[in-house]
Amino acid sequence: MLRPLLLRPARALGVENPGDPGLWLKRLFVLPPAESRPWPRWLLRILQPLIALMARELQVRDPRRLGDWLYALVLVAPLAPDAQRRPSILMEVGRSLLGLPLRLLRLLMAPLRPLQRRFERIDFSAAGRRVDAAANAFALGSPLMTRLAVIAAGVLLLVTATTPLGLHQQFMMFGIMWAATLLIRRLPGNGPTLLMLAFSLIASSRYIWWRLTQTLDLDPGADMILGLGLIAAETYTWLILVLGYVQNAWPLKRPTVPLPADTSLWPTVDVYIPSYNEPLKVVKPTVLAAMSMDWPRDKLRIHLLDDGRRDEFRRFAAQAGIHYIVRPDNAHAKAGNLNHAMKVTNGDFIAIFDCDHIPVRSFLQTTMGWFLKDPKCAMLQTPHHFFSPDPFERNLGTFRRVPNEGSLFYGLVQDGNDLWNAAFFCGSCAILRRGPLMEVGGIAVETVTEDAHTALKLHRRGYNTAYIKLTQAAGLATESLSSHIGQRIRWARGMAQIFRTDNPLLGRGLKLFQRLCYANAMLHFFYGLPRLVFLTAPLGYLYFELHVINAAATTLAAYVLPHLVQSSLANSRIQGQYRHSFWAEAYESVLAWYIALPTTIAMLNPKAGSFNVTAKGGLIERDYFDWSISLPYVALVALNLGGVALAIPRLLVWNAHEPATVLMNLAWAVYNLVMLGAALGVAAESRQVRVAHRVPMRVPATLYLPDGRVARTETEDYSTQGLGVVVGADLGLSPGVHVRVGLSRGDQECSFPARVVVARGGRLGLHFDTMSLEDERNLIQCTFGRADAWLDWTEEQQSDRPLVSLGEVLSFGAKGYLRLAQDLYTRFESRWLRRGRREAGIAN
Amino acid sequence: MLAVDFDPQNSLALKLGIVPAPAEGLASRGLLGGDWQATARTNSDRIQFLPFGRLDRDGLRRFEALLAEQPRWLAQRLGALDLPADTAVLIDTPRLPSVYADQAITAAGLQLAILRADAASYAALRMFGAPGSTPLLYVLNKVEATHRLQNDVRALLRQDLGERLAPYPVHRDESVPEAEAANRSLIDYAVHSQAAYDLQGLGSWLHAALARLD
Repeated sequence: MLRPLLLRPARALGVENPGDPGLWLKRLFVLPPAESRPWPRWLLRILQPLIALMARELQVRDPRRLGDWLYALVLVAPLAPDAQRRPSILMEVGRSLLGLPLRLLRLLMAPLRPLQRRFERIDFSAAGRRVDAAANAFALGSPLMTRLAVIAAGVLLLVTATTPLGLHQQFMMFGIMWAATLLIRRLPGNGPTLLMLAFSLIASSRYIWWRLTQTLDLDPGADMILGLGLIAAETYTWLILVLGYVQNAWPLKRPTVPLPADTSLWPTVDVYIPSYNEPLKVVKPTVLAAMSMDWPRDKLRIHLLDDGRRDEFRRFAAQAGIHYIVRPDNAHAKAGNLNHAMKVTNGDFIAIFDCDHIPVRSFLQTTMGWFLKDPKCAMLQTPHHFFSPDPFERNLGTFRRVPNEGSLFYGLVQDGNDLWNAAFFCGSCAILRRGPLMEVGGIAVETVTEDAHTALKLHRRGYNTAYIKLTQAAGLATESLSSHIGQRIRWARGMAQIFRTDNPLLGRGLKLFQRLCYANAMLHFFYGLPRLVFLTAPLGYLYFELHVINAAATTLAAYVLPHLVQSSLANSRIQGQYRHSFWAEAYESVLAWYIALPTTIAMLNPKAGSFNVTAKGGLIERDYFDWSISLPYVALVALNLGGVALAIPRLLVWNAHEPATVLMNLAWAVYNLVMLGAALGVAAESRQVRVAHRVPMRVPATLYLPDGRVARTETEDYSTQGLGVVVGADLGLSPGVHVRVGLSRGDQECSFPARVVVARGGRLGLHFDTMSLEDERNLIQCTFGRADAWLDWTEEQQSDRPLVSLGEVLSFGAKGYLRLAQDLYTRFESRWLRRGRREAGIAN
Repeated sequence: MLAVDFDPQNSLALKLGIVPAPAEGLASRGLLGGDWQATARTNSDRIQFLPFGRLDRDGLRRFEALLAEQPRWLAQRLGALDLPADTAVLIDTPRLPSVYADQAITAAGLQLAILRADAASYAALRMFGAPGSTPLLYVLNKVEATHRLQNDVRALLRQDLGERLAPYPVHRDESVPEAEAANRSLIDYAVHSQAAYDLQGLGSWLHAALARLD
């Protein structure tokens, strides 16, 4: 009956079969090709050039497709395989919108500018020295005075943290502390740092004391449960903050100790290079570099510990002239492999390198001095350094610009641990003394973080450990986000296991501060659950009007603002060089979900779970969005977005009587969305271009041309497979030409056969020809093995400026959402639009 | 800077861009007691140059006899020149053993022995540096990367000679004969040439050594 009525509009729309409602829906958006009428010619004459221009500027792939226009307008411009990434219009708009608050803030601060300039002219170094001297007088004076000072400080802290103050007084106290901190942070030295830590301790302790005593709603109900969850998370954060201050307040900065001139006094060293499934091309440079370390030949033995029992490895070891060790089983993975090797070797010392950590020639000479100086020293660790970007750095594009996740640990935490004789073993780039290691039964096998556990056992026996912050080896970072997360899960689970089975707070043999340092190292990994609590905390109110904090918003601000401001100022001071402000939140937000479960399970049952090896040396061949990893975050984003949406009716209608509370929860949810955006940005895996990672290096190189001319050039970067050089002038070389390139190492010049692959703008890309083992060894010695290979690595890093850092995290958040939207669109397009077009094609 | 060609081959002129090599010079005029100072030239890089001059076999024999008789012949001639105080005089001689080289060693404040990175050169080391003679420095010439031995010879020389071996070996580089054939200075002809770079390094190293002598 309806049919005749529908027929006319159906024809107009081009619906071939009016009985199919799906077709109606489709035809509302997609015209059948046959039905598209030609445009009037005059209109085309005007429009066509305009469209062509727009399409070119916006990089629309195919101007005839609506989808491509949408794509180009709304989303990131599609990438031609070789093109530079170009931000889309929306991105620009987003950036200027994000920049607005920052600009506003800058405008508000403008009147303070002259004052700031005035401050900058003052030389504060004398004041800094005076504060340092005062601190030293207490620390290095008579033990009695030190003890009295500690007790007095403790009592004072207790009093200041617990004294109740009125709202205005609390605000005033904050104002005074803040102003004082802004002055103190200009003083150089460690003494002023301690003052800043003290302020932060006071502010944070006041907050947590107030929260615990004044704001808990103990009436049973949903309010109480969520409130208790939040307070638990906050107490945990406070505890980690305090422990972190203890750990990091005074990095030791241990110097190197020179070795005796008489090399006959130098001990013998066994070098272990364990491998399980890594390809030979990853292991080879490590072995060759280890062989090239400066140490008496008869006192250096290199052992390749092959748990994969591969013939290729056996042949290589024989050819290179190193020891090859296999064992009957693979029990206890890497720890077992090392323990087996200990049984068949007998050097005084054991240096351990993961099979992809390439040591420099000076590794042993810069480290071994400490063992000769301190006979109780059982372990010395050096930093782990990565010359390839980790997934965070690659996907966010922050490689070598922003300190990465590991730099806080190796830059500050280990150095801080070292002051308390609590530096721990990290599994690679370290040396152990055989005697003590045998005494504790070799490398620990009870937990999956055998390294930290071994160090704990050594400390319990009264041995010392050392940390030297001097990069003496470098390796590949984990490739994909999933393997990176896998590695962090293993660490978190292992630390939780140690905490359960061999708790550093209990048991014998440890000093108080060693206990605290170890406890922090382990507790630190429990951040998963608290972080998830923070990511969902405002939702209780926004969705269900649950008051999880039983206090007026203004009172809360009076307590929480000093806590946040003072702790971020203090942290920026002590860790700014190694971790920029707000990045900890970003890193933790990404890992929180995955860390939460394994740590909880390991706490409940330390035996559950299994060991996994992280894969390295792979290649991500195309851009993709890792859905399986980011799904929890997409869910959290949806929840927080819902919360933000609900905030509007709450603010205007439902909860108009408490706008401050609504606004606070709204701001919290928005902050969560920013951090989650950064997490999403990390999940969008960027394509990797090269298999062999190029390391920047500027040294002279001699280029031997086929016609006998020899050119002086400078290297730009290198990898195990090639070299980039700057020639400065046109040498008339084209791709395909074979040359030799010479690199110098002291008085020695080694040359390598290579082929020109790129010749552009005074730069040459060279690819090495097949090389003999001797050549490969020389290449490693001239590149990765140079003593100064990693010295100026952090030179290009910007220093921490909290507001800039916030802006950066914000923009990464925005980018994360764009990548998510882009991926959603691509999926939608391939599933719906393509199908639509295909159907239209069939209809034709 | 004054370059003196004290080699009967009379070919240093070509390396300095003075073509053809002058027929008259220090030896040809000096042998007969003529005005040899007038044969000095200056090239476009403002390097002053004193040629050897062309001598036939008979002339050479007589000249060498004169040199054997008067070991300080060259020293006296150079001493007679009215040179600014900071002028460096570079004397090019035939390889040892030779009367020309002996004359130059007597005249000089500093000797530079030019070695090849091979076993023969290493074996010939003892020919240099009679006891009590002028200070002696060494430089490696025509180093080739493809010669695997060169690194070993360099290490040996460094061990024996220490700081007296120049830190810059001069690479064998086709740009050098090419520049000579084109009658242009090496720097001008191939600015990015490794040999040019090495020679510059050698120059400043020698300069520093000369400064230490004063």
